[in-house]
Amino acid sequence: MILACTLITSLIGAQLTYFLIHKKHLTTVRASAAPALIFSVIITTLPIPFSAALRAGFLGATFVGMTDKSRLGWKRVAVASFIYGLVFYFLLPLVDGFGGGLGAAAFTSCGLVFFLDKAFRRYFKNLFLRAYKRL
Amino acid sequence: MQLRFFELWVLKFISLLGGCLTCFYFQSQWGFNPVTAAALTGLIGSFIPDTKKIESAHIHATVYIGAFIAMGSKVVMAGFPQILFVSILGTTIYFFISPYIKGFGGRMGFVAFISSILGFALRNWL
Repeated sequence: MILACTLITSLIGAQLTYFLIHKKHLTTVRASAAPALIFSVIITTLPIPFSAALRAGFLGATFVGMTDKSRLGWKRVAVASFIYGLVFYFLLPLVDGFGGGLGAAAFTSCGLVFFLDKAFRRYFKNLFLRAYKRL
Repeated sequence: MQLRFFELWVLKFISLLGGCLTCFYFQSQWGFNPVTAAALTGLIGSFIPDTKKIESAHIHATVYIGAFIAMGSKVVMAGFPQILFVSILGTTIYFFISPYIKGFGGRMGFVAFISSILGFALRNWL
């Protein structure tokens, strides 16, 4: 239940921030901080037992959404936010007490998606070129 | 006029330390949770006017990095010297690696995380 909520929150947080930056032309920091603040205030008032995890998850997801258009498109940002949600749920408790853990998780997931995408493109490009030459 | 190397570093350092202390203030005096405090600090910091002279200093980003550093209890609990030390580390790391990780989401938090861990480790080892 917590994992599912975290993943949904991550997807929403990242997509909302990405939308605010690229469609509404807000500055990256404002597009991350404003939704995180609003979400944090709203979630605090709701009687949810794991609200602290959701708050932190949402803030971290907004970092994923801060990715530049030239690095990742909105679909890849969605994939990165999903990976971020998993990293947040399973690995982040290990670095409790250190600031920037959320950002590090977001950075790792964005970097992973970026380099996997690059590697796949290169691999498939070579594959298609070889197949084309054979024809 | 472009800011010189050291002036730029000092400007980044001041904004990072300011973000860190502001976030810490919100947590300790107003009783905000770390997420709300960091988001509020970042939002306030984003209203600092980005003039042409300081646009290369990325003031908004460095304020946000400071807020992330203050989210960690291990740095904040160690006292002001540790906050100052981590702020110096964070500014220096961001100063040198930001051109290489430009455009990636979470780069500011990553810098805060590295500087927090490094500050904590150096404090224990030295």
